[in-house]
Amino acid sequence: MIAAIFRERGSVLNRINPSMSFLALTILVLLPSLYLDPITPASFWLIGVIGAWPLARLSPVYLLRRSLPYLALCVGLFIVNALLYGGEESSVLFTLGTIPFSTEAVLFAGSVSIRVLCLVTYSQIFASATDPTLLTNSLIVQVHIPFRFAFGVLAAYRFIPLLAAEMQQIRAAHRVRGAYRRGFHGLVFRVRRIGIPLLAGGIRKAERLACAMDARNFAVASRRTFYRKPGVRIADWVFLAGVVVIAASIIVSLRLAGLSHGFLAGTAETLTGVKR
Amino acid sequence: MNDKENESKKGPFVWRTRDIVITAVISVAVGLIHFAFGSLYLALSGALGNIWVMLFLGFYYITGILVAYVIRKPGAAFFASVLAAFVQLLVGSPFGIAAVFAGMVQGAGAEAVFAAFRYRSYRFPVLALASVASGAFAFVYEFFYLSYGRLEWWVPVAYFFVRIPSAVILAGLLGKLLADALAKTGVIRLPKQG
Repeated sequence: MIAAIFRERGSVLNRINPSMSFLALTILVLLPSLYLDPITPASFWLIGVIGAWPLARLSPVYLLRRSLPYLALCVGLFIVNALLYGGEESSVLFTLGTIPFSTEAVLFAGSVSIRVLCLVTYSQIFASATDPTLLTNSLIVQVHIPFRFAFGVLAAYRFIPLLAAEMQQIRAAHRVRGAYRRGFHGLVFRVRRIGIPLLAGGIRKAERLACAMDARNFAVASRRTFYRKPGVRIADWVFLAGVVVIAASIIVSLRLAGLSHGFLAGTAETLTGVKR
Repeated sequence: MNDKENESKKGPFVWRTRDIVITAVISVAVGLIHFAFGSLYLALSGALGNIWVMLFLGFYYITGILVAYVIRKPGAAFFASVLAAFVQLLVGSPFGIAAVFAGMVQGAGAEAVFAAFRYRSYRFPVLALASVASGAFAFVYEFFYLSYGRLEWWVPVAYFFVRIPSAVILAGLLGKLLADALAKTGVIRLPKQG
């Protein structure tokens, strides 16, 4: 399918039920946010980069290349969070100009920025390994999304290349009439003059499509059949269990080593910042 | 949902295939725009800093407002927000997985406001309120995910208040203007009462 970064790689993750893999990756994205140290999210990130190689056939180089543009975001988050940290501060780690940075502030900032790096990496893994059609089917069967909605969406999703072609056409039409403005200044102009006809065209197409779907009794059928019906197999449960076990063992081992701070050490405090 | 039953009901709040597909097309298009907007947002956050860039955050709340204003059915805002988020995830947005959660809470925020007005009023103040509710719900989610509680007390306060005018203008007003412009082209028909 076009307009997704998914490519069939014959990997394990390609065959895992998309709803299950979404659940598993969500656990890996959300758990680090319960910790205030940088080591926990860094471990979660590392396990993703290493695990994606055999399981999703995505090399670390591919993942790093895809997340590289967003490193700037992580650095920015680091600086802002270190500057604005408001918790307890004991020792000054270093001073930049006249601004002192405490150890706690740096650790906290590291935690937040690596959390986001984790999010970026797992998002790329999921998007690269998930077939949008299978995801939709799985959302219907496993998550019980009404199929009328899901298939309407799938149909609309196929419009993306059409819309792209139409955009080129509108642009060309403007150019030919000399109504094209370049640069940042022309941005508002372009957004209005291209965006509105584009959306209008999309809606017209959607209406024709809806008509065609209704003509084939789409809305009336109460049972659905699937070409590829997604089931939850043992392999899916094994994958989910594996992810949970790995996440738990990271958390427990870091806790035993005294490297983590948060969650088991005091969830309420971690979440609200209020020390009891 | 029982479709036989659905067929026989023909109320103003029943989703027809047409509504579903139009919602989907708009949401997919907005999802792609948000994906492109992501890079611009990153560049702006470099130039303006982390707080002021939130003046542009409101643009992320437009999906639910625009679609709810055009379609006017229960669930429109939520459905559209979540869908646009899934599109972002699949085309490789860096915030992919978080975008899905953000989409859910933003959609729920807007939906709550439209529901409170019994899906009957879509005047600008209602749209503005729904945009602000999107922002407020998203703020709660960000508060936990990015541990805002650990920052200086005024920082989360600033994070919260900076997004309010942004939500009103970039989601509420822009969404309404866009939908009104679409109505002018004749592809959609909006009821007289705004």
